[in-house]
Amino acid sequence: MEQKLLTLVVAGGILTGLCAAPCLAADSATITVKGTVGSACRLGDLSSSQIDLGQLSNNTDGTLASISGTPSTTITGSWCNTGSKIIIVASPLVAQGFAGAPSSGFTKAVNYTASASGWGSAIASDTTLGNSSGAESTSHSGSQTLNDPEANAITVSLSSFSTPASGDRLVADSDYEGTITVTLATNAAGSP
Amino acid sequence: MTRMAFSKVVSSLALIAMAAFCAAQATPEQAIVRAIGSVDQLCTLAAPQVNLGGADNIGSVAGSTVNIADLSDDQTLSSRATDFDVTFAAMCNFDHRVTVSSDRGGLWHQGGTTVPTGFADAVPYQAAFTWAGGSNVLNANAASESEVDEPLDINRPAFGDIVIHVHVDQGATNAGAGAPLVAGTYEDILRVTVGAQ
Repeated sequence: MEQKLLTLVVAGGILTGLCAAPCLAADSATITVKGTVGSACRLGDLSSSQIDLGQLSNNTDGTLASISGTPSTTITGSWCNTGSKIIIVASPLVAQGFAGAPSSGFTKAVNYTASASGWGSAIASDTTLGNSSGAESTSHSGSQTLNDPEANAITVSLSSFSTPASGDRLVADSDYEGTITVTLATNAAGSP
Repeated sequence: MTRMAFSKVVSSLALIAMAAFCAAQATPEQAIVRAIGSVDQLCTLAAPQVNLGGADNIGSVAGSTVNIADLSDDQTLSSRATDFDVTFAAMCNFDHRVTVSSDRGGLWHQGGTTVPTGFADAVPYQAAFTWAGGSNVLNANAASESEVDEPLDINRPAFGDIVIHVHVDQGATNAGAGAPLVAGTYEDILRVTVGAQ
């Protein structure tokens, strides 16, 4: 884009020079140069594409363990040059190798709240709603909008882990897995 | 070239540039993060609880030891009918096996007493157990003084109580029904194991 505009300015100068000597003694030509910057958002790179929570159950009674700290990963180098909307959608951690529904009192799913913070002052968060088999009967998501351009890191963190029913025991499985999808888009309503 | 011509060139370039930016705006950016974890295989088994309600011929319970009030009948000197239940709170979060074992295969006399002909030195018993909708019976028949085991496979996670009903038949001995028992202490250890199949 910058190269194209520069070419036009140079060409204008040459034509003005050529016309000045053989033509009128005083003349002028103006060239209006315009450019536009479209709205765009860019999500940067993940510091890690997975958050490993380790052992999910405690070894005394098989119920959900207390997950220490706030497991997180960071998306660095994100920006939007206009108003934006950040959306987060999470799915429960579900035992991938356990076939069928678990026995009564057991669960093959762990729910949690996923949050995206650092993009403006508000936090977008979404809480999963899986039943003991991991199925969710309603769709859900969390979002927040920002009216101004922003360039910042986004931290994706997990918290508030729970089982579908209080006291559920977790079935054994070496692979519990859920996904968190973060979407960053321009928000026309919030554009300056 | 005239100014008009310039104007046309500039206008056409500006339109091209705007079209390019409109295309970029329409595509939201996405990042996907996987959350992962694991749950180890785990079985738990609590200390036994002896249920004295409904028990028959039980003297006392001390910890994990059940003392039979009178193993022999005063009149026949053979064994007396005895019943009691013992429960173990348990949990396994995977397909598992419960095994009930008798260390000696019956209630055997303690010590090296010579057993006169016609007398008995062991009392057979049964331990019927239920767990997670399944059941089995350990038959400690006192045929020989050796360990006997009875497994029960459960192909799902389960939690609750393993209930064992121990029963001694009236007059049951290793020398035939109604044989008198030699004097002394009789003992066995009933063992419950939960784990992988």
